[in-house]
Amino acid sequence: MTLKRIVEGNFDSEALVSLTPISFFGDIDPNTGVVKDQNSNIFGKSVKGKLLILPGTRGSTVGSYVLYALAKNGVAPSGIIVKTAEPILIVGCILGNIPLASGLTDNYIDEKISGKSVFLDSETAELVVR
Amino acid sequence: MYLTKDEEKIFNGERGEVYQKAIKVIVKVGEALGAERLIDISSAHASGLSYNNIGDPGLEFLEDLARKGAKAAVQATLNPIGYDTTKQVIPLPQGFAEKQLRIINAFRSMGFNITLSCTPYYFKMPNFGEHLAWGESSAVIYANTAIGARTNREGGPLSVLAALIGKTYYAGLHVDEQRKPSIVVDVKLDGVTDSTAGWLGLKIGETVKEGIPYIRVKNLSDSALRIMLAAMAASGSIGMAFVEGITKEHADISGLERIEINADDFPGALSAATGEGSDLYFIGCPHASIEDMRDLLSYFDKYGHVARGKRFWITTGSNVYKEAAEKGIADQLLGHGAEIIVDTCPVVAPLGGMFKRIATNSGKSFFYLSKVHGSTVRIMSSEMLVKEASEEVVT
Repeated sequence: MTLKRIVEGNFDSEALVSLTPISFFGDIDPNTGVVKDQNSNIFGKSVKGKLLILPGTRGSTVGSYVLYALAKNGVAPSGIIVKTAEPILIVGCILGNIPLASGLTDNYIDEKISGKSVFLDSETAELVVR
Repeated sequence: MYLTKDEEKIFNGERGEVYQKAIKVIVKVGEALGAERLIDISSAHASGLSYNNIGDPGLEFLEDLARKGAKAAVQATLNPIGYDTTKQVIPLPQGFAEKQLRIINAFRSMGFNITLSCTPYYFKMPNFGEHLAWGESSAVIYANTAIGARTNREGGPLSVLAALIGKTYYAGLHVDEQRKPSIVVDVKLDGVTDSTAGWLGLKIGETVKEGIPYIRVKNLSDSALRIMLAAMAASGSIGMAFVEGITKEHADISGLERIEINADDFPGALSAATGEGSDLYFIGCPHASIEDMRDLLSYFDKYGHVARGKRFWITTGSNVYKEAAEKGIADQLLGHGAEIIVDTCPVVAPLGGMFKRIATNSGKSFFYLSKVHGSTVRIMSSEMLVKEASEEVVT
């Protein structure tokens, strides 16, 4: 796996793994960063300060504004890593200055990684779980 | 990325800071998606209009663009806002209207048309093959699938920035090679009503997740098509589908994975269990067409007036409402106790706890309403909605 950095920044934080794609509009509270989707494995948890690992995004095109609002409200993830990045996610991360990388492989979409400290090795472009 | 001389001037800031910001963001998104150049668009449609959804950060972003003198370079339309501008229907939270108005004013000063509808194609139908930069996932998927125009699922702010320079990145659904089906979905249902279309769309979105489904389905009305497409664009990240008999572009499905969806996949949808009734019945997600209104009127003629204690909302665009009024349809619907609401919809209005139980024919609203307002939501066909809304509650 080599990750492609789309928005540069620091990818070194505690991981939070969502097993399913997220619609930032509807699934995440823009004021608190708490996950509102009751079917999500991370329902009730906050994305604030976490390195959010997930397959990708879905749903509303308003999601970009929610990402921007999360950043402005100080509750954004410290970074986001996905398998494939769609325009809605990319624009939100650029405007909110949220580090974003794509190219994640399925073996990282694993709840066991949640809570662990992870970082993106800048030399190998691999995600390392400590 | 290759830029023309004019684009380079914008990129270097020769036309001012605001256009430079616009092109820089678009180039950056394009580069991430493998675009080698930009493409001219014929229209832009901005989503993310409701103050309820974009809050102060969104408002400040838009006002900043407007203050710096940004103007749309192409025809640009707008998604619904948080309330009906023609009448008071929803009690608004303190300060809401003022903030919402500031969002509208920012767009007005940037030269956007204040259409306030999620169906920009009813204001001006794009041509086959035209390139667009549209936000609003339900409009994007309809444009690509039913009209044959080309747009990616542009995030709300990107469609605004694209409107300013009249261009977007040439990647994704703009490119021939990217408009190919990735999976065949065989729908084994005899007929699809508007309510089964909602479930079907949600199911396809959840199953396919991303990519372009090639859907074989029988007897799909335009109304059911719009409902199905909107639902799959909510539960999935799908910007285009091929619907056999509807999508005009050629598709090669040889060798593709094939999945089947049948009645067992959504048992709740077909039984139409009514439970304890709802306090709001509504259609119009996406915004109702004139045909939707005609159909509703025929059901009201059959089942009668909306019962006491229940409300029936039809949300639509102001232009469709005007047409319905001219044809006398609106007055008859109002006479049956329905309320016709323009410029907004339950998903983007600040409903708070106004309705505990909502029933709708929209799979997309089913997906968002419980999350956004905490309401319990049921999906029913528009005929069943009218029937149940007209039944008196026995206490």
